[in-house]
Amino acid sequence: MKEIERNYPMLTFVTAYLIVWFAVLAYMLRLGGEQRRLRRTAEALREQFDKQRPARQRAA
Amino acid sequence: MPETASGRGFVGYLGYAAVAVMVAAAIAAICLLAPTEETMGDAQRIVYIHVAVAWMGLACFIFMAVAGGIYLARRDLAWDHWSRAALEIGWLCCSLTLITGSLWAHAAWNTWWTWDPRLTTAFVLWAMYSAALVLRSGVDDPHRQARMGAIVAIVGALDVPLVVMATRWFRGVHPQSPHMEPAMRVVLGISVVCFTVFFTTLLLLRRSQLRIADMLEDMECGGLPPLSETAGDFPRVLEG
Repeated sequence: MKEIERNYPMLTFVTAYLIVWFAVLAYMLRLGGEQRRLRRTAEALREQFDKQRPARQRAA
Repeated sequence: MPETASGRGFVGYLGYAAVAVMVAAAIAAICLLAPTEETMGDAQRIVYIHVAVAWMGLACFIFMAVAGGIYLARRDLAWDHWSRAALEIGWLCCSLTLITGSLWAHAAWNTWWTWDPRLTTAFVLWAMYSAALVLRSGVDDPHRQARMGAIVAIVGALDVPLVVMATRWFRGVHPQSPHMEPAMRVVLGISVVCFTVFFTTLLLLRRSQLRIADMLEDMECGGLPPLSETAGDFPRVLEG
């Protein structure tokens, strides 16, 4: 118990930093997930675009 | 190295590496360079990140209000992308300000929370951020979302000067401008600059994602763009 009391300032500091970095990491993971979702959607649209290209060129 | 969805190439990755190095340097400075304070010990080091995230929380709100105001004047969703990106980053920073402040307060004042003017106005700012997030998530139409976000941002921006001046205008327990040794001030400066660059990078990345998501949604709903508009190629900005 005395040991915890003695290290209390350090524990408080470490706790604050861990909370900050876990929160930032969670947000960055969310951004990464969104980036992957956008890439998949763009790839699907690109495939559709390439498939339709000959017909669209003829029509143009 | 190929370009990515947000138009980054090798230079972009180099930029991310530079930001990571800056953040690592800031953490190293906080842990190793800053002297230990006599009264509070290591718990005082919380200040270096608390001030940095608090500043970003305030700056994002002002930015959100300005972008919202421009949206209301021009009705251009591009400004709403900036506003929404600032809302997300600002909410994160404001929440972290309250949490780190609470941990610091427990070490300094032996209480997690007190209704000090600075703390109260900061809490109101967090409530404004949360209100903007909740209101936006309840509406589907992007223009209605943008309008609601802009109005909350402009009204809420009135709280920003109160947060900044709370320690001068009202009596409270929050330190006005703590006396620091020169080495501490240098570390605080490094921390604020590095974290500002870091969160600004996240803001730019999020804004770019919102813009691309909007373009993809338009293409999915309205069909592929005519060949004349794309010069025969798939829009480069959307390539994975």
